[in-house]
Amino acid sequence: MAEDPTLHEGQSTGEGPPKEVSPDEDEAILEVREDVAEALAEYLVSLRRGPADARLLGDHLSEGLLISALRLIGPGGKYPMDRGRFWQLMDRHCPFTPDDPDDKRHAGLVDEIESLFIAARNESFEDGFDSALSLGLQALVLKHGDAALEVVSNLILDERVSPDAAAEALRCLGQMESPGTREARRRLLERGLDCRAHVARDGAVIGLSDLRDLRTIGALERAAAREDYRLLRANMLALVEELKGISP
Amino acid sequence: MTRVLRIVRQARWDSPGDLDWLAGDDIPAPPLLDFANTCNDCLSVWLVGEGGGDEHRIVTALAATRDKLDVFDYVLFAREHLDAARTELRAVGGDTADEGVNRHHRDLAPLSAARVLAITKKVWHEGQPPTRLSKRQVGQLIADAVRAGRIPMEGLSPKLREDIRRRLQNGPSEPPRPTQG
Repeated sequence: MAEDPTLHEGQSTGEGPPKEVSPDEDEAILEVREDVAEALAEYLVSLRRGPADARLLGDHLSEGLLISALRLIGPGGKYPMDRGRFWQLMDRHCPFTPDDPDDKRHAGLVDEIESLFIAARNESFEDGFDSALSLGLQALVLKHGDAALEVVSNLILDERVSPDAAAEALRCLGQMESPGTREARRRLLERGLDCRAHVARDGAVIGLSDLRDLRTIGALERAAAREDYRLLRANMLALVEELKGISP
Repeated sequence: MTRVLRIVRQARWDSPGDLDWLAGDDIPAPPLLDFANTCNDCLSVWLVGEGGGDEHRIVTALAATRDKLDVFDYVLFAREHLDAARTELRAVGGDTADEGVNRHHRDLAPLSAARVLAITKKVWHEGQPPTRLSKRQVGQLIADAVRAGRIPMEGLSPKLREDIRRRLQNGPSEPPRPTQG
């Protein structure tokens, strides 16, 4: 396929006017493409040496593409990329909501998350230690993205789970490193400030303190203004102060 | 004054202003959970202040035994409150990575249901509200302790170690500002 070498990747798809690049940049881009092609070719050759299984080729190919690119842009690679920038690009071009929200899969996800909360009825949560609930939820959110968060959100906000389990869930959602779900997690944590159980609201505050997002200041201030529990209110206000101290 | 430190969950000790429904010296039920989780009729506590160790150093040592950084909630109360329950404080060495604080550990024993209730009531009515250190403050305390050589980095669990290592690379400390309502 003929390509215009003066265009950056992604700009040939109609996203605004094409941006011209200088000859130096152009050369660098071409060099990267060659390196990627070389790494890919190497990978494909290695595939041919392994057991031939045509059904797995598609999966292997996608993994090979990813691994080749990651080797080049990862720490120590030829073109190391800033971690934040990497996640920005991932979010834009390959958002982590891989599963189609078809009914059958969605029902399976709901069952899986409900089972975690049911098992958590016999679990005692301890500060500073992961629980089966927190580990299970984090894994499902990483795998299913916002779809999992929507299920968790419904269970917590409809009060179909115990306050302790709700608090544990909210705390672990704040703690996750999953840039692709950050917005949905922030929204859920902010809504968690409205939970009827003060234990769950406390979990939301702890989750928000991990998130450290300046946009939550308003929600925290409103929650503090209506909060009856004095220690919890103090925690909300302390977090507001902490966030206000962060440079935007 | 020697005080006694016990790890709790702050939310259990929190209450809305109106507790008129409680009769006499009765207290809400949730705080009992923090004193009823005994092990062989014993309860683990730490002495701080005059006859004990430094409050933040003990908190740091305890937080460093965890798997990951988290908020640290604890309650402090006067040693005399234990007299009401006629409970013994047994000197049993602590099990933290900071050898300098382990001698301040005690077991409260023997504990019956009535004694647990008596202590919890005393602490509820006469102790300070529980203190909470934020995750950030706890991380800083542990990082400072590692830097000072009080807690060995290799003694931390892998997840905690990674967090502390990151903190040590990032720089200066800030003093803890606990929230007590």
